[in-house]
Amino acid sequence: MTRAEEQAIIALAKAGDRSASEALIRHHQNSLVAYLVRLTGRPETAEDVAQEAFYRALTHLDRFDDRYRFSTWIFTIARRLFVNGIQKSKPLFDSEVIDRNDRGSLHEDAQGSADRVIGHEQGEGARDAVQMALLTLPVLQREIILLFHMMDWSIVMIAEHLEIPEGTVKSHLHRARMRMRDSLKRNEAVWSKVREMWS
Amino acid sequence: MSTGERPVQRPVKPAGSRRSDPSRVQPLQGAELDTLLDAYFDRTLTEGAQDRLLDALKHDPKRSETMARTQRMIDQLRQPVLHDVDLADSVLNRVSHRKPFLSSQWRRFVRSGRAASLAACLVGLLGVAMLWRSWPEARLAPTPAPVAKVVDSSQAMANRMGQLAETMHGMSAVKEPAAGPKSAPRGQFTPLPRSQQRYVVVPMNIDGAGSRTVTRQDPMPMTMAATPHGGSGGLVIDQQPSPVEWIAGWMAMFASETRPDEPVADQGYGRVVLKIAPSPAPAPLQAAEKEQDKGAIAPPSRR
Repeated sequence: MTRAEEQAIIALAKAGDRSASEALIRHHQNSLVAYLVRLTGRPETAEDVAQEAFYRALTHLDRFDDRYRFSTWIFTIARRLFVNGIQKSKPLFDSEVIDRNDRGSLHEDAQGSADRVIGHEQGEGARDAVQMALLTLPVLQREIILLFHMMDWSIVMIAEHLEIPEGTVKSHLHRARMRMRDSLKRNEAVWSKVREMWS
Repeated sequence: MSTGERPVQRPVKPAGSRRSDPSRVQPLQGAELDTLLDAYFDRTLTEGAQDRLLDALKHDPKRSETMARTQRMIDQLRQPVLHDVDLADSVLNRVSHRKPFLSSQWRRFVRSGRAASLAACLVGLLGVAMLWRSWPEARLAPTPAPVAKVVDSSQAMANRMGQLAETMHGMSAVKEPAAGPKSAPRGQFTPLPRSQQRYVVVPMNIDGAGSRTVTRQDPMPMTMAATPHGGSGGLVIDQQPSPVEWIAGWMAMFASETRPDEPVADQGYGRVVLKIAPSPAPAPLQAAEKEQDKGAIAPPSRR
């Protein structure tokens, strides 16, 4: 969809045209949901966030700034919803985190969500491992690495989207790649030991 | 040096030549190689630098493995994670609950309605502009009169009344009503100097009940200051010279009740009538009732 086409569709959607709104959703939903699945680690959460983001975007289309692309705007809305969701579901006291860690539920959560994302029964261990490595990153680094390597956004665009300097984006990107690489390496070592035990 | 050996002269390399010289033989060092690797994944590596990096990686199996691992990781990140989702229906149903969608016919109707209201606004503004062009003196709201200054100047002029009386006589007329106040009327017109002649100040003092009529023959705006000593007063303006001036005068009409000893000021055209009603004196019966009330609420006297 070119910029002119997008603007024409947005103008129609603003005027109350259902088919134009539908075209906007259909054009952006797959990329947004895929990004959110990677970011959250939970497909159902990703779909909920994406749905809410589209609903808010379409009911506030009059606030859309024509200088930007619709994709940038919808990703920004989705990001804010996700960050707000994280803040709301944050434990109130550190003791809750400690309790959960003691019971090992935190690790189980991460493992379970990663499994749900990809479907481990299909034998896609590599993608499981990548998702696991991704979930070990802080949210900001996860966002940056996904926007850059998955969505092919430029560093300038990411810096504008996250409202941080370009240099900070670059350093987070390097750190995130390094951490993911290390995490994958550790995982491979564990898997090779497991394979040895079973053979 | 002390043994007498001649120092070996080494060629001086220009600053930055190590980076910019593509034909250098020295292999890339670790940190530099890492920087180039990061630049490669950041998609900021130039073509020449990319060739250098690939050459260097041939001699560095550890880093080439790291590069391959990172590339694999990125490729896996790009792979689709889910089957296609369809959020359109659920989102559109929610949106239509809040803001119903319009058919193309309705949209056209709304668009033409907006255009019509815009055109009506433009025509209205044009009409007002033409009206103002035709009658530049017309005002939609009364011009605020500087009351304090008017009162001050009226008092000052009242003191100089004797000197000004002759000047006033030729310019205006003061018409006495049939049943005027008991004291002699002292209302006068005072013309301002020609350069500032935007309005005329009319000082008036009415010592008792009655009315005062001031007639202006020309349509010049007129400011009136009066001090009713007791009673309530009102200013009535009539006989406006033109409809536009009548509207302006009507907007500026002052008809509020005034308290005793409060100056009255306004501006208008044509004939201006100031009416003062006497304060109602307490009736004898009311006075008697008051006395009775005082006795009723007075504390009982001690024996």
